[in-house]
Order: sequence, then C-alpha cells, then structure tokens
Amino acid sequence: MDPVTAHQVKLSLRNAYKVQLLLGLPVSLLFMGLVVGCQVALQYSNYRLDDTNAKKHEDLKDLEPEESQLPTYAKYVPSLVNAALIVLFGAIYKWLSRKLVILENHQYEQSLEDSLINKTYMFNFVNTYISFFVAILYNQNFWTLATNLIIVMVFKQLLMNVLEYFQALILVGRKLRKVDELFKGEIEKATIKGDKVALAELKMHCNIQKQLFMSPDEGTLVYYYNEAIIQLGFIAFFTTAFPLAPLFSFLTNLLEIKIKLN
Amino acid sequence: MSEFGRRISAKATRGIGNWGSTMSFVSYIAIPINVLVLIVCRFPNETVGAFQDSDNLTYDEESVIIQWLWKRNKPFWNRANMILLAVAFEHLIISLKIVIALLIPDVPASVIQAEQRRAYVTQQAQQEMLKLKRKTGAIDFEDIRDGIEEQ
Repeated sequence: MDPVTAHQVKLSLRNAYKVQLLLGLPVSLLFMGLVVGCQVALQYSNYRLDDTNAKKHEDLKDLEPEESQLPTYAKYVPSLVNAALIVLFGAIYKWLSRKLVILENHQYEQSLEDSLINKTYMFNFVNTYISFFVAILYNQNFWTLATNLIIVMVFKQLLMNVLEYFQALILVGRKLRKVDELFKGEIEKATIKGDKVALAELKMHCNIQKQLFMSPDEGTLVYYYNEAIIQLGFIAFFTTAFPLAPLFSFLTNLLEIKIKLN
Repeated sequence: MSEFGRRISAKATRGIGNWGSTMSFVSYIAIPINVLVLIVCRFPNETVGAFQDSDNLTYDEESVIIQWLWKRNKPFWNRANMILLAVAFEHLIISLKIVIALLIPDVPASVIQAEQRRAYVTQQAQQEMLKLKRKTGAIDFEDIRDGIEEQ
C-alpha cells in the first residue's frame, strides 16, 4: 500500500529517475541539438546567399544598387523557414515527450505531469527562442529581431489557430454532418408524431454518435499551458523589439477563445 | 472547436505543479535578456553584426541606448563602462524584484486566517451536531434540520 495515496502501488515499479536521466535527458538534448543545428544551417545559408549577392554586386558595378540587391521578400524567408521549423519540431517533440514520460513509469500522476512540463518547456524554450538569441548575439540587428518576432508570433498564434480550426472543420465536421443527416429523418418523424420520449432518445443517440466521431482530448493541459508560457516569454523577453507584441497577443487570444468556443 | 473535439475531463490537483517554478524562471531570465537586447541590438549596415569591429562603429550603427549615452558624454561611455552599467542595472532590477517578492506575501493574511479558522469552525459544527443528535435522537443531518424547522 502506498502511504500517500492509500492505494495499491504498481507491481512492476521501475526507477523513474534513472530512466529520466538515461533516456529522457539524452533524447531531449539530441533534439535540442537538432534544432540548434538547423538554426546554424539556416544562418549559414543566409550568410552564403548574402555573400554571393555581395560578390555579384561587385561584379555588376554598372547596375543600379536596387537591381543588384536581393528582393525584399528574401529578407523574410529565414524567419518564415524558422517559424515552420518551430512548428514541425514542436509537433514531433510533443509526440516524443509523451512516449518518454510513459516509459519513465512514474508512480504518481503529479510526477508524470511535472516531468512532462520540464521536458516540454525545456525543449520549446530552445526551439522557439533560439532564432531570437541568434538575432541578438549573431546578427545584432534590431530589425531582424523585430521581424522575426512578428513573423513567429503571427505564424504560431494566428495562422496555426486558423489552420487548426479549418482542419477540424474539414476532417471532423464532415463526419458530424453525416451523423446529423443520418438522424434527421427519424427526428423529423418523431417531431411530427409528437413523441417526446422517442425524440429525446434519438437526440441522445445522435449526440453519442457525434461524440464518438469527435477528436479525443489530449488528457492533459500541459501543452495548452506551455503555449501560454511561451507566449508570455515573447512578451517578457522581446517586447523591446516589438512594443505591440502584448496587444497582438491579447487580440490573438481573444480570437482563440472565439474559435475554441464556436 | 468545442463542436469538433471532446471536452477534457476535469481532474483535481494540489496546485499548478512545475509551472510555478517555470514562471519564476521566465520572470528572472527576462531581466538579463532585456538588458542584452537594449545593449547589443543595434542597426548594423551588414547582415551579421557580430563580424563588425565593435570599437569602430559609427553613431548610426549603435543601439538607441548607446546613442543616448553618447549624446551625454561620449568619452566616458566606452565599451567597458557600458558593460558595467548593463550588469549593474540588471543586478539592480533583480534585487528590486526579490525585495518586492519578499514584501508581498503569496497568500494574503486574511486567507491564512480564514484557513486556520476553518478547522475550528468545523470542530464547533461537529460538536453542535453531536449535541443536537443526542438531544433530539436524530439519525442524520436531514432529521436534525427537520427538528430545527419544527422548533
């Protein structure tokens, strides 16, 4: 018997701390290294592109400066690629972290959640903010930092929410509409007959079938809270580069509430 | 979205777990990062500012805060003095944050008092219930309530 919960303890209880140290930590560090590697590759390709362009600029001295410079949209490409990488790595690590904490075989749900919180936030801190630290320490450019912040915030907070909504609307909404169509005739018949019991029964079965087709909940609020803390980080760390970031966050949160409630 | 996804099942927990320490980490690390942004981020003419010679930068290429300091006393605000100022400012803000955190308690005194009082009130209520049970011969709370209503 467990002295804390007064319930029977797991029979095959392994040492969660050891697994955490020998498996969870190296895998997380490997993933963080992958993120840093991608960022280095991105910066290197950006530098090479700029360097090649500068040499071309020297060769084509007769041209007007505007003609030999990189197009304006090219300045935003690294930030857009970075935003896409943040989302991609975030999605992979979300799946992986869940597997890792289950492998750790925690005794209590609280310690499982704590381990998931540590992993999720640690990885997302590196994954999301690495490009900002590169902009501060390597580029040392205020505009690069501001541009990166705007693009990442718009991508993460606006586009991803809208995308998530339309994905659910297309994939789940289609199935729910089919269930509605399936029960529509029977419900109409029961309404005409005035059979209140049958009507209530049909509505209940319709709702049950709809619930079955709905996407299951994640079982934890860790990922929602993580998004909120990452957003708090954007505001607390880099507002000096984009003072409208808190207002933007407020508006996107209002939009998220609206989307999630509809 | 609530139309397309199953509602998350509610669970009771003792607190927010590691999110408390995570938020504390964010609040502390934000101070040096902001100071770093103010001092390091500037308006370089090249793509990579780190490759430039930091001692030979023009006024326009420096950060806003350094431009402001240079306007006041350019010879005094050399690289070493600026780093010293940044470190001192960062330490000052962190100290201020610690002092404010110490001065404002996490749980207000009225809440602590109410929590302490709760145990006493529960004990008193239980004693009162026992007395009423003995007096009226009631079996449960419903009987006691009916008895009081009749009285």
